[in-house]
Amino acid sequence: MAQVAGPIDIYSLQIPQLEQLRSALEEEIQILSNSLQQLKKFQIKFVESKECLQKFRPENKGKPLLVPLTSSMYVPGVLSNPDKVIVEVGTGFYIEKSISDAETFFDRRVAYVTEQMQKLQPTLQEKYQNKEAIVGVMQQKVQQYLASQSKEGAPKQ
Amino acid sequence: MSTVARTKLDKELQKAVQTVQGLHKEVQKGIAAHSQLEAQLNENKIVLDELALLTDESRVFKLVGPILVRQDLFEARDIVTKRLDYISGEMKRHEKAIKEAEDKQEVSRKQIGEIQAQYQSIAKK
Repeated sequence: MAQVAGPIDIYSLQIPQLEQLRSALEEEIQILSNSLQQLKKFQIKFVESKECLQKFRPENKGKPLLVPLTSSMYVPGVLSNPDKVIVEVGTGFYIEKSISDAETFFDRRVAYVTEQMQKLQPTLQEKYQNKEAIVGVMQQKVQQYLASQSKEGAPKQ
Repeated sequence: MSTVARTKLDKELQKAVQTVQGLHKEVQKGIAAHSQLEAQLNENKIVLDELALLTDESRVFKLVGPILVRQDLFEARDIVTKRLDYISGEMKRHEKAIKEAEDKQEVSRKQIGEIQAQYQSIAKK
């Protein structure tokens, strides 16, 4: 929100201002890496879903399988229709798709998520570098300050 | 005399600061709501794209509570399109509210600046 138009020289800033910038950047980095993690999670989910589809082959029709009711409870079942699956497309909509359609659907999803991740990565890196630069300048300033303090303090003793 | 003026300024300053803080919260809330809407807008857009790829014989279901209900493809497209309209409208509404709160914030900030200038003029006397 507090975007300043044009580049500013961070050397010209005071320590409290630098600290403010640093914490703002830190927050942004936090948000960005959270999003990135979430995207990664979805990417894995889509890839796994696609892998599951490989079991849906005609020769597996009528074969027994265990259906998870919860992650720790299963009931026996039979694969009655290996030709079609129902996939969620978001906001509560589900679409019945053939296996090959479902595969391309997941491919599309993975491509989308990967694209979003690639968009985020450079921004995250940039913010990170900015933060590092600010921390560096802050350290220099603190050291300068301490040096000037000890010079002033010395003659008094 | 100057203490009276000072307490008056103190009160004014406090009030102005409170206003700015309140507005700041409002802006933050607006931005949060806006980004949530943006996420919903994106999700609905993706759904609409998916629905657009389907043919007439595709079967579409809608999750209602714990059950999947069969839904007509055209009806589904209609619902999602309407949702997109609604969400865009809501986003515009929030944008306006955010802008207004920010403008008000600017006014109050100027007020604070003026009060601070008055403090200084009192101190000089």
